[in-house]
Amino acid sequence: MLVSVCLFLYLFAVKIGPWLLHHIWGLDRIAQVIEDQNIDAGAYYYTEIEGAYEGQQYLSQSIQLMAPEHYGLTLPFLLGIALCLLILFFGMKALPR
Amino acid sequence: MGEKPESQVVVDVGKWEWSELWKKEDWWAIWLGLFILLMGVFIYFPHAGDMNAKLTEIEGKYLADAQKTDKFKTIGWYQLNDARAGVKVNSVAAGKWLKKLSTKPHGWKSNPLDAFVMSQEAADAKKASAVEKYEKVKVTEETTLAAAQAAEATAEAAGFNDAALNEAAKASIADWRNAWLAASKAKSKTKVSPYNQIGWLILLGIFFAVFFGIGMAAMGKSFKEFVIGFSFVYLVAVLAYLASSQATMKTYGVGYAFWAIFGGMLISNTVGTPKWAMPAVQTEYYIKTGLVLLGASILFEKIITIGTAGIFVAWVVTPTVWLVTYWFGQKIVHMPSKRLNATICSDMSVCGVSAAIATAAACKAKKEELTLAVGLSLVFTSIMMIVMPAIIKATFPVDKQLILGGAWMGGTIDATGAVAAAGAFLGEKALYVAATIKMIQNVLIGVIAFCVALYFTTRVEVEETGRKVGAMEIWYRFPKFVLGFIGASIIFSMIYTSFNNQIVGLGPAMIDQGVVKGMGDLFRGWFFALSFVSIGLATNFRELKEHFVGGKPLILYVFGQSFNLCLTLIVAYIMFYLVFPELTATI
Repeated sequence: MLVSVCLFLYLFAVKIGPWLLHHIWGLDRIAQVIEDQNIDAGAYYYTEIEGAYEGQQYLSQSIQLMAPEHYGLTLPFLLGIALCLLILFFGMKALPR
Repeated sequence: MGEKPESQVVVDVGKWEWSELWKKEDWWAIWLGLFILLMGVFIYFPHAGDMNAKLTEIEGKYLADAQKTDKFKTIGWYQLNDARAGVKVNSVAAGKWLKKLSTKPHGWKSNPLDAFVMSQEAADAKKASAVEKYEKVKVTEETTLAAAQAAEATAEAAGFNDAALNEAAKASIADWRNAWLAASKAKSKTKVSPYNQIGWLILLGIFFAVFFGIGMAAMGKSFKEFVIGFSFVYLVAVLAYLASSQATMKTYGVGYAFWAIFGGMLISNTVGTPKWAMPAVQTEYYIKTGLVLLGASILFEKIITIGTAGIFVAWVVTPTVWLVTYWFGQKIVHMPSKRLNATICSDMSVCGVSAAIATAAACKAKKEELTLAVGLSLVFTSIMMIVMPAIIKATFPVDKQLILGGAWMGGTIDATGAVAAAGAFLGEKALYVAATIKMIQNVLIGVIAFCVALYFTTRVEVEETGRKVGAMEIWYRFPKFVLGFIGASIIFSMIYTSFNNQIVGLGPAMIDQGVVKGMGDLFRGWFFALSFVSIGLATNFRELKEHFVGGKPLILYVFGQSFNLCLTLIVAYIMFYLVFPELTATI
């Protein structure tokens, strides 16, 4: 069984999977983007994705240049964090026993 | 499979002993994690002055151009950011060596050996093909740059006061950025060199065996038996990485976690896990050490990246979805296990596998419960990665596809890699927004894990044992590795901010690219892979099936994800287009 499962997986990887890529709508285009931009679609965390660092830099510098009043620890921002903590505090207390 | 029956619940006595510091697995996870992070500090921090000097030089070169106008982002603005992003402390010799040591099997298509060995001839051929492709896109990049420079100069000549000229320059610069992106990706593929990873993988295995073996010996286990067993667990982990690096599997987003669990289960349910390997089947030991390393990458300053809109999408929606789904699981679905309920809530609402790992460890979930939660997340992640961009393309107004679509996908698709792929499908800005929203959600893992640990220690375990607990007993029962996890996050967040206060970009150069990517991340993935292999090796299909009876976990996940999709879309629209449209316009 171990051998047959391994064989099937190998077949899926080199034959069935690539064939399916062209037959599931949209998948071949996603595959092209992943290939062109060298994205690890199986990454689980932001540190494994270059786009997260590029995005962080792009977005923070964009806001600082064009709307600096919205950047940093503004009152609405702090309100958002406080709301998150309040939701967690009261939510956890209210969870069913 | 319900909560533990009363007879199986251990009634702990609130008693602290200092020997726990070297006898308990939680503490060893903290010591080992901190050891790796401290090594990163010793290797990279002495280079802070050099990085500061590089960034100062870059500012001197581009800052004036970057700040010429606030009407649009000039070429100089982009060049400043690109140059800053190129400053990475892990490019020092020690960083390169560590990267080589910890490299996972390389990508391959049909011959698995390609993952371990590439000859000089094969590398030359691959490089020649990549260079040819790069040369083509480079010409386009140069042409569009020249056009963008001309358009910007025309707008500048009008003092940046002519709206039509500003718009023309903006469009021209956008064309150049698209060409630049294609060129930079093509350029990165030209860096091909031959490799032979086999020796490095053996060296890494020996290092890990000794690294974890020391802790095992201190906890009273046999070092020799652990090392022998570890060779098997490590081999399966290498095979899991080999499977995940195959081209088709990469495209489908099937990562190492799936292969590690699947490989382990395949062995344990067919030929059986060898008895001599069992001393190294230490799921929690590996997972907790990996989580302490993960803590160092939870940097609080990152949450300000996309302003207030981002914090509402990532930090207000997420706990709301978590709590509502947990309530639904307990009251409507009647999930037999609170721990499975909590783990599914986290992987669905926060960020998939990494959140599931942190929550399962914090609430002391069973290994089958983590496996189930991870499995559900992986299946839905692959589906959503394909379906969501298609829906956005087909139904969203064109002007809202990138920002609203990006925020929606970032807030709902579980795994970061799938978020990035789906975002990139829509465009560069969608990728940036999606990946950033996901990154801010990632930071929430620490808060959620802490709350879950506290909730299960003070509420669930009290109900299970039927005894009220005092402060000392809460401390006694609290999973201590969470302290290492949160502690690493707080310490490195403070260092990150203090670097950034010296000069913009020093924090990312030193912490993101140094201690995190140049040290913690190199090993964290391996530790999680070892833990997933351990889960697989100790699980049989029958046990797993019992947790799935009635399809309750699936119902819970589908309800939670549906609620998540609706709420995230509504909040993202309100925040990005009704409350902060001026912030959205800057993106």
